[in-house]
Amino acid sequence: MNIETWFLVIYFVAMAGIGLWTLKIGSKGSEGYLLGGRSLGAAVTALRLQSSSMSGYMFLGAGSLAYTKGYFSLWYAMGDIGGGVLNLSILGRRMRKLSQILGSLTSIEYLEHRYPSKWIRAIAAPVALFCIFFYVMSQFIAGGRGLEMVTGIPYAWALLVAVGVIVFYTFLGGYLAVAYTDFVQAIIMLIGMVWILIGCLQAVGGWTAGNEAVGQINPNLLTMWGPDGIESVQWGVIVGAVLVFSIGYMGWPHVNVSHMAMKRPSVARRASLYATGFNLLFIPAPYIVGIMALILLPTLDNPELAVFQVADTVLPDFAVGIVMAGIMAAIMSTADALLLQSGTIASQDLFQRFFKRDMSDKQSVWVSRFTVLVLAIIGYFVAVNDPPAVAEVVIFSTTVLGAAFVPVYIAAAWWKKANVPGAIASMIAGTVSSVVWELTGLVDVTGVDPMGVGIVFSTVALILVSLATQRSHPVPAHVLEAMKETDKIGAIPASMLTGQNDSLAGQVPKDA
Amino acid sequence: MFGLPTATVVIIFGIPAIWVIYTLVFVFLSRGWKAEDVAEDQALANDADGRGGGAASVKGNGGAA
Repeated sequence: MNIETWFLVIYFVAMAGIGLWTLKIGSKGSEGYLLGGRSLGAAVTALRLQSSSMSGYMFLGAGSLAYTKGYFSLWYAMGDIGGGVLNLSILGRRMRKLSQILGSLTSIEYLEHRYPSKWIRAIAAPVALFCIFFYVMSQFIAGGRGLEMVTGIPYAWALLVAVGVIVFYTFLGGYLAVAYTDFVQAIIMLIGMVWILIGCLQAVGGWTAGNEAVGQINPNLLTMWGPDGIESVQWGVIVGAVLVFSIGYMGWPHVNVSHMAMKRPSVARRASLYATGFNLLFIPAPYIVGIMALILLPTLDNPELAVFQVADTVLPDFAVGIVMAGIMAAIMSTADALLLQSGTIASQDLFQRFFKRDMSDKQSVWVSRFTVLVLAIIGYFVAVNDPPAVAEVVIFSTTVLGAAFVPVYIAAAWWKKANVPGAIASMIAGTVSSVVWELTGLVDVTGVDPMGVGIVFSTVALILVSLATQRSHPVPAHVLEAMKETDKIGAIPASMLTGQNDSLAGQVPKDA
Repeated sequence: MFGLPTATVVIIFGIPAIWVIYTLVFVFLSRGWKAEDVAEDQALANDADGRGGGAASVKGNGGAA
């Protein structure tokens, strides 16, 4: 076994160890498994939020985009850097407080409590589950490819190991395991990525020398307009690129659950500092490494391996091991969050809500675990047989998630007139418009990104339908009360806390 | 600068700078959120003393689920 493999083995054992540890310290029951008992502080919240939203895309997709498009690819980083603070400042405190007042344990359930109708969950849960499944599959593929490259073992076996470790600790410790492993993984990711960047810049003789060399290949690669120059620039794609990873975060259920698990609503404030700090250091690095790979590895067959190959080329063996652990960390920290979210949606948002309402806490946790296992097995077989390109899958699934859910999450916390018909219309309009835009090739024809189109459609639908149906479908009084309480800076009165019950559309305050 | 066109430099340093400013402004404007923690600590202390009526953000919904 080479030294890189040893580092990965140590890393995998450490992650599994955290899973076992959280199994011991975690609180029991659904709130313990799904939200870590709402006990997480600012650093864990911020780094969990960031690492779970970064994904293997940062090591495969970002490098590939940079290798083929040069500095144009940094438009994605420009949005991404602000994604964390935007999410925490707009949703953080309010979503934490409102979700607790309404007694919500999952980010989809929160939507149904805020917009009380079973149709909210009946639409949101399948859309989220579908997108998250494809997203998690892309993480499996990234993990398998990474392991294959480092260890030399065949892709199918490498994939099996990567999936096995992720499932193991997600299965055991639930949200707490995912949050703490994500926290550790964010730090490993940062160390790994900064190390590659430093090694890479040293190898090309510094950033300026590297840029000059890239300019000799094609001067347009140094511009923000793409390899074909400003004449061919698609402004809609640029706007979409910035939107996907800034505003788009606010529509991702597996990321938004971080707000609900915060120890206190005010945690969002300090978490924003950690999030922006982490993003500034981490996010631009894979793009710059991908660009510099044009000089170091000019004949690379698969651009998705640019960051991997650069690490292998410029770093000593022991450092490659740590870097590879960082790469696996990025992949696994997203995959575990997605898997847990999938299990949560299947058990809480679909099975318990629509099929077996009298399910106990313990049964619910086991259904969630079983779902994690089943999805992992299906994901493994799809990924091993016909692996699609990681970047494409990630961008497509996150685009649909963002288009479908960004307006309903923001309005849930801020707009008191947002009602059930508005939310349903918004989710449908966002999903359909972004999928149609993507699948019919309108992106190429119009030059407008499907995320931008989807968000415009879903926002307009939410506003128009909510306003048009205010009389027929007023926002329930207990929801308005909860929102008013959320506006206030202060402790939640005990009388405001609703118990979670199975007739979710009829949640009322305990003393009502 | 750095062997890059001026527009590239302006964009790749300017937009992150905007995010940094946004973060600092947010942290400044939300400085009053500390009061929420104080209120919750007080409410929890009241609960512990048996004076009731308290609040719950840090307690989670506990058994409500």
